[in-house]
Amino acid sequence: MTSKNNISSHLDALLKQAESTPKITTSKNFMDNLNNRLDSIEQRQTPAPIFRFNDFIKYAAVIAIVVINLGILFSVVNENTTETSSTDSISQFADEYFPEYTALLDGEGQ
Amino acid sequence: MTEPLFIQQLREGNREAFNKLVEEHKDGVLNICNGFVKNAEEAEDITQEVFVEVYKTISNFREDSSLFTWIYRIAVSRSLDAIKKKKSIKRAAFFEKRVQAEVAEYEIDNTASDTLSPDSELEQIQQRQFIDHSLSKLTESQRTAFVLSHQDGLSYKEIAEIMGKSLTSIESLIHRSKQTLRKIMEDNYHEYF
Repeated sequence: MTSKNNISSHLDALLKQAESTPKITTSKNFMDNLNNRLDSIEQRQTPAPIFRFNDFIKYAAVIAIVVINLGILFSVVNENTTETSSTDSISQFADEYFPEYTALLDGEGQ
Repeated sequence: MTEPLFIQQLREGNREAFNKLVEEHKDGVLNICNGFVKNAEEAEDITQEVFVEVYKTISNFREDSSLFTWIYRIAVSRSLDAIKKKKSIKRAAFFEKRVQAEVAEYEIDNTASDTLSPDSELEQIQQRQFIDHSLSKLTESQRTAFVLSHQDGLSYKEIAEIMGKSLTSIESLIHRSKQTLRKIMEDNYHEYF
């Protein structure tokens, strides 16, 4: 049977062992691995280019898009001004189809 | 170069400055991590994580402590996270046996030397498991204080800064951690030997 003294001295030795973790050093490829990880982090942070055009083509594309948009805008505006407006059409046919209603409106107007 | 200027370079993403920082602290961080996880390979993985975090969050470093203290604080926090992760894995009964088998296998691979007899090998493994088990029973702050106090070159003042406590509380914490560890070892001695 293990005596109390033996246990105590064994515990002292174990405590010392717990206190003295052997010193270690990093592996040879530690820096390479770390730098590879950092490179991939940086690559992820840089937004990927959507188009790879040169500057001239980029500016030309923007101007073309603006011109097309302005063209569409003008054509839509012109169409609206040449068309008879919907309110005109209503007043044109209201007398014919709803004479009472028109009379009522005229009365209120006066 | 002054520390503020060095920090400024790190904030600007200067890789050369960062590599210098890593070279200076990698072994210190590694040994702190190893003090917690008691596994060189795992400690190196955590050390990598620590420096990746330093690189990513250097812009958040407020300079209310030294750079060294800040890095070591991250190392402690990451190591404690790793221990918690391990514990939660161990809690699952299915994984428990597997982890123990892996640990035993790893320890046999790493501690077994050609000159040791099988009995001595077994005894070493038993002792290592006993120490690890006893250390795991310490509270988080006791364990941190215990591990840091046995790192070369770390003064009580530096440990106090890393742990964000006063010098007197660190002194008593280290003293109590040793007492508690001894008590835990006494209580569990017959389970192992």
